[in-house]
Amino acid sequence: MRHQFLIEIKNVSRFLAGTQRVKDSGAPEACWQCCQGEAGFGKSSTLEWHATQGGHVYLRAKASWTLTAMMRELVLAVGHQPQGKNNELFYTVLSSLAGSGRSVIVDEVEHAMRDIHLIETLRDISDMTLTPIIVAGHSGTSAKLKRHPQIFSRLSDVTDFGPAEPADVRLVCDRLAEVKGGKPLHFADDLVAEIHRRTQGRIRDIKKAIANVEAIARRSGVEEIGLADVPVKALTSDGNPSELKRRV
Amino acid sequence: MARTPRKSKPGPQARILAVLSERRVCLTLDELAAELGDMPRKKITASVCRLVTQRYVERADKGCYQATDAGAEAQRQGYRPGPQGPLTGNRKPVPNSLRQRVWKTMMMRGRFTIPDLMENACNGTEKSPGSNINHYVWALGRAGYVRELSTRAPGTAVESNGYKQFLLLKKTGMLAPVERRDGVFDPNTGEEIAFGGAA
Repeated sequence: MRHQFLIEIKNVSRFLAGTQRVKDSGAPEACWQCCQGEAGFGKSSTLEWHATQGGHVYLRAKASWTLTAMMRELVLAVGHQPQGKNNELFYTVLSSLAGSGRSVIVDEVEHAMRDIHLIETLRDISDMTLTPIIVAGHSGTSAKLKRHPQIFSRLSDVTDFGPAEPADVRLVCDRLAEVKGGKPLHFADDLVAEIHRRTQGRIRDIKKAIANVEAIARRSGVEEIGLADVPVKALTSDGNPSELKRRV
Repeated sequence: MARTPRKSKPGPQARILAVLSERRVCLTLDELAAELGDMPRKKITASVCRLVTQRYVERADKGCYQATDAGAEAQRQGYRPGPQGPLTGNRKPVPNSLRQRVWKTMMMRGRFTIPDLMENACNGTEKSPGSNINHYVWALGRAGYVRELSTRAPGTAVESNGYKQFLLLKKTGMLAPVERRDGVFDPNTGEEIAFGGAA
């Protein structure tokens, strides 16, 4: 299986369009973006890819976060050694972010919403430096943010990460699956439709299913594979290649 | 150390140093221009600046330059412009290199496999990213930054034993440690850690 990130997937395209909307928003301080969706739809991997490729600052909120813990992680993430009190850490972050063009990404933001000081500190940073803040969490994150009008009014975009569409599954199959010698493995339409149905459009599970189907194709030495060639268990998330070896 | 005299046509710096070492008096740029004849004034200014940086020429007065003892000695031994010694400074980190992106991914994830790093850090322009990343993770492992976990992530090939999983032990900062011949240099702390040394 090839290991590459696919930006053509609908969720990723929507996310990138959202970041562009935030950049183009009329009010400069309205530079917040919220990403929400259930687990397995590719939120975290999209945010990590965006942070890595764009040089943005990425933080994953922790259940044990205090204001100091967040500020120390933020200082480390902007490229400095955390030293001093919260106030000094805050100004280190400001000086590093001002004019840098980087965004701050906070994944699993529900943990940070338990203490209003954390979110308010992020708001201070974005207000003073006009740094875009991207927060991500499970479904309903934007509804939780609604409780804080001073934050909610700064949201320029809410990106919903939903199930992959059949076209996305086809794209992932075509681009990631390969057989011996790096040749692409062609998935029949019925197999793609079944993968979509059984995985319910979860990218994580789609990749597992592709890996299982690929193992079967490599074993049989074929370059095209259809639903009839694949045991049903290979398409579910708990399909194990070592077990499939015995079935084929 | 005596340097081999150059055989090719002397460049502007060598010509200027030759004139100044011969005269051993302070010459203005106008006098130098008259002495050198065909050399453009801009080139004279730039070359004199370089000679001053190398401490072969000093500014005796405003706009007036003369050769130092070191300059005269260099001229006697055959002056050759260019680097005057090995570069011993630390390399400035390249902001968006593959290894920088790999390090950032490690910092974000903490626990990772090589395919994880490839998926997140590659942008399609690299020649052989898998080999590069493998080598880098191996070097970080030997320097005590990364430890291999005992459990593997499921692989995709039929006979695969699975992908090795690694844990980043030291989160020293956002600048990627640089692999060297016998260790790793960490630009975040300024330390050089030898392979197999203290973690």
